[in-house]
Amino acid sequence: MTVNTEPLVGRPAYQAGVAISQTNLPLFVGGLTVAYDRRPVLWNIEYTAPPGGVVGIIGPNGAGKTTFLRAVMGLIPRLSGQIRVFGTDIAQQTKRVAYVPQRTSVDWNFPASTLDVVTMGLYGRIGWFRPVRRKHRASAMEALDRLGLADFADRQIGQLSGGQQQRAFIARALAQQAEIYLLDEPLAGVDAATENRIINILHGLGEAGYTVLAVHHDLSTVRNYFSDVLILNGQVVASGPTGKAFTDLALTKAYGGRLTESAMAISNAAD
Amino acid sequence: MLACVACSLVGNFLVLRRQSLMGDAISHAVLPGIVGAYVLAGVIDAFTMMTGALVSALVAVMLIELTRRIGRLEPGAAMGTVFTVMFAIGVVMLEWTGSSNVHLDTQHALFGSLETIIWIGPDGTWDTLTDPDVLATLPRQITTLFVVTVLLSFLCLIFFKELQITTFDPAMAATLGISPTLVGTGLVLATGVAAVAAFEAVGSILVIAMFISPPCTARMLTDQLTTQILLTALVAAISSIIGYLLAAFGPGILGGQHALNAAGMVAVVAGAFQALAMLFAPRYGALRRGNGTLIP
Repeated sequence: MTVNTEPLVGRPAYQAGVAISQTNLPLFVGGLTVAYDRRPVLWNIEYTAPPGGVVGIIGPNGAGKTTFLRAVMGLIPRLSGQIRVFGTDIAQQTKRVAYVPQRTSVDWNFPASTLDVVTMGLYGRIGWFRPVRRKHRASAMEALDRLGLADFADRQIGQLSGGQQQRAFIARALAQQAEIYLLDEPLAGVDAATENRIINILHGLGEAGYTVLAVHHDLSTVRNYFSDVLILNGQVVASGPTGKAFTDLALTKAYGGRLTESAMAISNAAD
Repeated sequence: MLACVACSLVGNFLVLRRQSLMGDAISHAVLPGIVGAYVLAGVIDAFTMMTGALVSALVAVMLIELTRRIGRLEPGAAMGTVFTVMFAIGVVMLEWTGSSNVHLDTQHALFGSLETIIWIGPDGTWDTLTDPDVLATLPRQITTLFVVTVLLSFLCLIFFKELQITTFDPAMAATLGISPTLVGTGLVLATGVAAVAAFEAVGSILVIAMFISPPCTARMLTDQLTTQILLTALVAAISSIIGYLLAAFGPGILGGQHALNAAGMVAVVAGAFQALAMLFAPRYGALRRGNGTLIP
């Protein structure tokens, strides 16, 4: 895979609102290595995300899926490697990337309403020393509405169901109006209706030309949900369009003995 | 009263961050800084004390973080060791440098001396309150506390967004370019300032009570962070007034001889308020809990 790393940001095509073309690289990860306590979790990851792709990140427990997202976002130090967003280092492009952590990573007893949480998505845009204004709340309300949560705007977040909390998190990411979306298990613990709703939103983002990467666990739905996959197991096992990269060979390589017969059967049945 | 409001404002965020003991830790850990600053500068004014205390607070935070990482301890244990050791060093420094004769002493540090800083300027009529000459006789501690309370309220206001998001979802905040470490350090410094300003007047025990108790009371009563902060200030103010009055006049009414330690009584009242809130709060109170989800 050849990668064009020359600075692309200055070009007119990169102005907001312009459709992303094939030559643009929304997200490029080169030689990424991450270690906890000198034990490497991710090893020499090379990955280029496709523009307009909805990418499923899959792999066994401990494969480094969450670590991958956190390292891309700069939340954990990397031993080596570079992360480029639209051709520039991610540190200068934070506003163009939205990150949705696992739902269980925050304290839902926090005294805040659903609208408060979604409004937080705009804080990066509002900037230091400036207050939240009515237009910010209105724009957060729009995002809530897209997830069907408008009626719950004033609820304390702890009173939402798990699926509603997940949707609130996704609404918060939409409020950021980013161009790349990184989601950590957006479908964990939600019911079928919510799952559909979230997937539709993600597909909508993909069709609008944005890039979506989501950590996903259910192998049986990968083909239906994702245009592309990134299969991890400490290293990149396979990546590319789902039709090509999501193979039994790759899955066996990633999951090894841990992939049960039934899971294999599911992946075969989906063929 | 000012002391209570100042501490409780900062306390809101400490409690929500599950760092309640940070108030405790910092209020103790600043002692060596204060003594050190006094020894170096030779005077004891608000500015010297604050500077010393802030340096101490920063050192404490770094030590806590180091202890936690190197010793692989949970944050509570790390705080516990760092603040007791630093407080002990402060006490030793006090005795050693002889500064205890001047103004600082251990008893004072623990329980405060609310009674000794009663303002006797005005002669009991409200008219004299506006007289500048009388105002000039305001005890130094009160002026300091006033400035600190106003300053902290102001900081809470401008950094509300940042405090809120780094407390709720630090990872998300970091991805938006709002550094949780930076805001967290700022919060610890604010804790230090509040603790120093308050501890001279009310001692380190009441300081801790005020960092934790009013925010917890307010949390039982509302689900809105802004409301919670306002309620906290209110609870803190009311506890301090009732506590002070009880300490001053309560024993007399009950036939006792001496006035009680006011700081202690304020903490008791704040605790009583919290107990009431835990029992009777509309949604979260133990006796009223309908479909609340807060507490198991």
